[in-house]
Amino acid sequence: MAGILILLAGTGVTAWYFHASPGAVRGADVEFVPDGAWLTLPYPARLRHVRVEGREGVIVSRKSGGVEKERLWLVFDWEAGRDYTFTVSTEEGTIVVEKSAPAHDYTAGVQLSVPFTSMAGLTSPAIFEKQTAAPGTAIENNELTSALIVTAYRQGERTVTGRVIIPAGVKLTAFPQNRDTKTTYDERGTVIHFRTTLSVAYERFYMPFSIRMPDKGEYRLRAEVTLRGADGRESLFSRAVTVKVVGKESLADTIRLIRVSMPAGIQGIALRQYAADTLYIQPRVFKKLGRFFGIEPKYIDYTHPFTYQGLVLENTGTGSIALLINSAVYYRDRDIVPAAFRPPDSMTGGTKDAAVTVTAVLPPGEKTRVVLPVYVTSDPLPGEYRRVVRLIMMGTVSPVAEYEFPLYVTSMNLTAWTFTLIAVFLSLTATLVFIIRFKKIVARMKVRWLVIISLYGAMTFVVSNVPVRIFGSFVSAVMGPFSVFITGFFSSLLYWTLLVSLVRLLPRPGTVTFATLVRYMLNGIMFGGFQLADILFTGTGIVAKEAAFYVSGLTRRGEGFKWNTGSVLYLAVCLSLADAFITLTGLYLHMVLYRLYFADWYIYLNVIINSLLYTSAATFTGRRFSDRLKWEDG
Amino acid sequence: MRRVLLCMLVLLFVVPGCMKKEARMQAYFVRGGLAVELPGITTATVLSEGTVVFRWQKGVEDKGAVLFGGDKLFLPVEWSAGEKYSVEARNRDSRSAVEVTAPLKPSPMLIHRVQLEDVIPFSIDQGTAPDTFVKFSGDNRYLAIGSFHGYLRVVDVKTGRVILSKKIAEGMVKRIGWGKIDGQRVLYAGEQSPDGYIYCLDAMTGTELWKYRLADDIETSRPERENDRYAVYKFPGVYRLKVLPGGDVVIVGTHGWDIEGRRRYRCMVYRFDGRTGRIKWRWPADRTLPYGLTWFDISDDGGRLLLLTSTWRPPGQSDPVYENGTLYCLSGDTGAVLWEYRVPPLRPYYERATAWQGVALSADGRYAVIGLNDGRGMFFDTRRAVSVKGRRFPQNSPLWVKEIGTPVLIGDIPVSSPVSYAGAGREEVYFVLPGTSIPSGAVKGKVRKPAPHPAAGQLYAFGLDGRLRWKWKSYGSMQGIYLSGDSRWLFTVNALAGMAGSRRGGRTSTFGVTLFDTSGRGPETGKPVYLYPTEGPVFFMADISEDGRYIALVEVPFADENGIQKGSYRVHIIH
Repeated sequence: MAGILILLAGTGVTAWYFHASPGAVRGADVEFVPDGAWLTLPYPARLRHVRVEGREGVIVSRKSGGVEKERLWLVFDWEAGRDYTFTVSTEEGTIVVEKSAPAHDYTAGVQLSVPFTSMAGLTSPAIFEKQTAAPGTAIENNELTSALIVTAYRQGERTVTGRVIIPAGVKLTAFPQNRDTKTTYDERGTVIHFRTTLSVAYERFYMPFSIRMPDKGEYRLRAEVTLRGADGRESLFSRAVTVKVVGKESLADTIRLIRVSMPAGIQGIALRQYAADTLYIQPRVFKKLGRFFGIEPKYIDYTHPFTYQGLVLENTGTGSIALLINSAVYYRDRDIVPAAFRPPDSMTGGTKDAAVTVTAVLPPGEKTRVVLPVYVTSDPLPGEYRRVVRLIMMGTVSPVAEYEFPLYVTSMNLTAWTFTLIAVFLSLTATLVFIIRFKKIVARMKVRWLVIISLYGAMTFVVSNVPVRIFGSFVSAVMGPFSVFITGFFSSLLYWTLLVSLVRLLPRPGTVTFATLVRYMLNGIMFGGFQLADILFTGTGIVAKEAAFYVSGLTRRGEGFKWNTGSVLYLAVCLSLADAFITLTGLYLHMVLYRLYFADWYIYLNVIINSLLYTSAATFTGRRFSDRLKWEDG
Repeated sequence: MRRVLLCMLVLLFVVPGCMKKEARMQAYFVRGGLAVELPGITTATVLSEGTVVFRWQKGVEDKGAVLFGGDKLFLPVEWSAGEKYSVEARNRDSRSAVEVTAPLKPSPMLIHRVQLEDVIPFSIDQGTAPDTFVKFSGDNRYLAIGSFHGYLRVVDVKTGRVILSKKIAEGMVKRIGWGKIDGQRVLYAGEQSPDGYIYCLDAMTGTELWKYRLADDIETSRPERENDRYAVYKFPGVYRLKVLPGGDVVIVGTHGWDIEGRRRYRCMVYRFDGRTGRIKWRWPADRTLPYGLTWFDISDDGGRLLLLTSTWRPPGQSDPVYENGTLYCLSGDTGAVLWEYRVPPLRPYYERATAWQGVALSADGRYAVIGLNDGRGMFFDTRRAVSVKGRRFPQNSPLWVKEIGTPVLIGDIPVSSPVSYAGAGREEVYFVLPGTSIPSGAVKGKVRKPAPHPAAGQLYAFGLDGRLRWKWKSYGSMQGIYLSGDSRWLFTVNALAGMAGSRRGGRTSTFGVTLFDTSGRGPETGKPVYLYPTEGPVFFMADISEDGRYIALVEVPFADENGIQKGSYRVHIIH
């Protein structure tokens, strides 16, 4: 009775819990920015209403329609030092945050960047400070793009004047092109004087210039900026950057290239089953063949990467490093990018640059994986090319490090051709024979045999195809090229075990053919796709398997086959060889039809594990399994 | 035991039933009025300092009030910041009252959300946002939606009811325009598909009145593989469609595809008789143009049409008369070229001038503005063209040029910020620069990606004299410029940079819409009226009703760096 009461009470509490009105939720964080505030909730919540109140009353009262957000940007004008109350109603409850606005007036932000690595964030605290000093790093005798950026954050006209002082020894190589700038020289160095007007909020004065650093040492560049408003109020900003000039080698030591892989997946993870540094370009005849079999797209989209290369970079230093990573493919003997490797304009922004460039910020002490797309915009000639990867510190001209890797373009593969032609021949012959002799083949089969064969065919589909189909992707993701150890268990070991036991029950030519066809049909119906390419693979498989069983004597002698160790060993050898041939055919058909170029070791691994190990083991397990089966004929 | 289980079931249903909360009224301040939300609302009264300022009763004269879907009411109350108001409302079951204080700025008001088909979310590295088009009818009563999977929907803005949902295209419904034939509302819908049809349909029933197959002129191409989500963009399509006051329809048919590694274009501008589908003129008249045409603009009276021929790559063919990378101003009445401007490439970085949707004309057709992919913005007086000896057409040149997003050399690598969108208001012209030309390659998204160009992610508003009037910097990637009929209301959407890879490290918290009141002066100039947040990114094609009252935006599902889906495929109608 007590148990029933507890159960009822528990159900009631559960019902109440799911429908109870929301209570208070954990607090939120508020960050004031020049144009309002960012509200960060502890977790994504469905927002109903947001309200901001200050001394002047309700400033923002915003209905939020139940959208799920973790961060919310609220645009309003706040005044320095004043208290504000933020009330956020969510479906989980209400959050109330009281926060004082910072003492900044946020009239303007000033950034002196030597070298210029990136625009500072709109709300980066450093740009609002009146006075800052920052370190910078440069490579000896290298040219640095530098910039002074002044951003106004308030509407209203302001005159901006100032100067950038470049110490002696540092040479100004590219002068600012802005209007009202003047450069003077004296014994202390070079001074760039500038004057401009900023009149609207977020208007930016951007003054880039280039300098050449001398030999090793430390050089202090300074900027003094004065903003004068229409009311005569002045704001002064002072910026200093002490640039440490180091040898190229020492900076290169800070950035370590841990690993580079090509071809790689979209996340930069190496596709190890394919030959490293190799692109396989299909010959036109293969493309046509692929199209005929419905595999190759009618059009190649040249704006999509052909493949990717992945770089793992480590920053062993103490500060973040902003990099441009630039990669181009050149002819082996000259620094010219072949037209086939020129990236599409969407990657180069329509400029004439023929390299792929991406950015990355390397956090200190961490490894960062960077992905670069590899484009093949037409068919390159087979041969060896050079793939050059340059790591360029943002704002500098000379690369910090440059790496060169070979790039092999292969097109014609005799082995693949041979296997494809054999597959075409065998499958066509098998299909013809099957069609011509269909009546005879079927006439020799008893109905109950066909039932048993169908059952076995269905069973091979269930134990072999289904698990691989369901878990194959997961296993491949986890084990990569070594997934064959797991998938082979289903596709070879279990499959051949069942097939051997079936043929032991019905030892006659045609048994394997029907079982394979049942499996093929089920696979097509359940998972879709009766592609012509499957006919090649299935047809070849049928011929190879029938031949193996026949040569071993099992289907030739029929009931007379002796299941002693010697005969079974011979059967295992025949089946292993047949399966090796089928595996190789499958891999080479993929190479020919799907533009995949497998590494040799991957091919060997598949043959050894799938065909030799699992198939020969399956022959013995098949015998053992069929020992327990009793066939009642009559 | 059965009884116990029965009791448990009863508890599960009865307890929540007993705890059902009374629907609470909500009142908040919106543009030009007050919004009141109460299910089944029948009356509403707004009082200020004890005086009734507005009274509304369902079924009685609305006095400008609008009831949306039976539970959201817009009351046209002129409110002042800081003032207190009492709002009383009733529905069939209850009476509610609430005191509200007017804030400094209005809140967005969500009117309806219309769920569209299921689509696969695009992600940091893969796929593209489902191309979708929305268009309000001229009287703001209906919203037409053309979806990625070829569906055409018509939504009643007041009730939110979908009154027409019909699959019309094998590909996607790319552009839509509203018109009227003998008082009957019609829709012109241009598709992107192997056939590239433009249809004229009865807007209420979807009955086809006429159609024209663009592929007969600009060719077709065979379908690509099934799983290529970009495949549809290789088909012929209607890339721009405008309905003129007299009922005629002007469209551009664009077809760009690859053959053996070379890009081929076949494009043509048409003016159709909206009633019959008869072609009034074509440009070029007797052949297709071997250059790309992605956008055009036409003056309100249809008298002038502006377009820019452009191709990213060198065109495989050239036209004997028309040039690539050239701005043409056509007569909207005849299709004749009024003037041309051969845009000089920004050397040494660029070999051609190209544009995306950065082509705009002022409503009266007097001024033209273009935004180029090389980062330049240009402003023209369309009446300033002069005849030049040796040139077939009169020549024009810009009144001013702004190098807003032109390449900045980072080391020796040029980084630009394309001016992807341009707009022309009455007294101002606008440019939007969504991002930079170099994407981030870092797989980890926790570090802020470098933003090397100082103009990226910004909206610029210049006076006709070329003086910068105001600008706005978004934390995300701003896209599109949408202006109300009187050019007072302007909005942009926040999405992610379009290029796969450049989406890495992008901020997802800024998705939504930013609305500006361009009539503002003084310190409020350039400050948004409001930000309307969405869960997923907003597609760059959106619409604002002619009177500026309603905004329609398309939210698209997106899988972030952790594979978490944000947002869904739906249209928001907001005020």
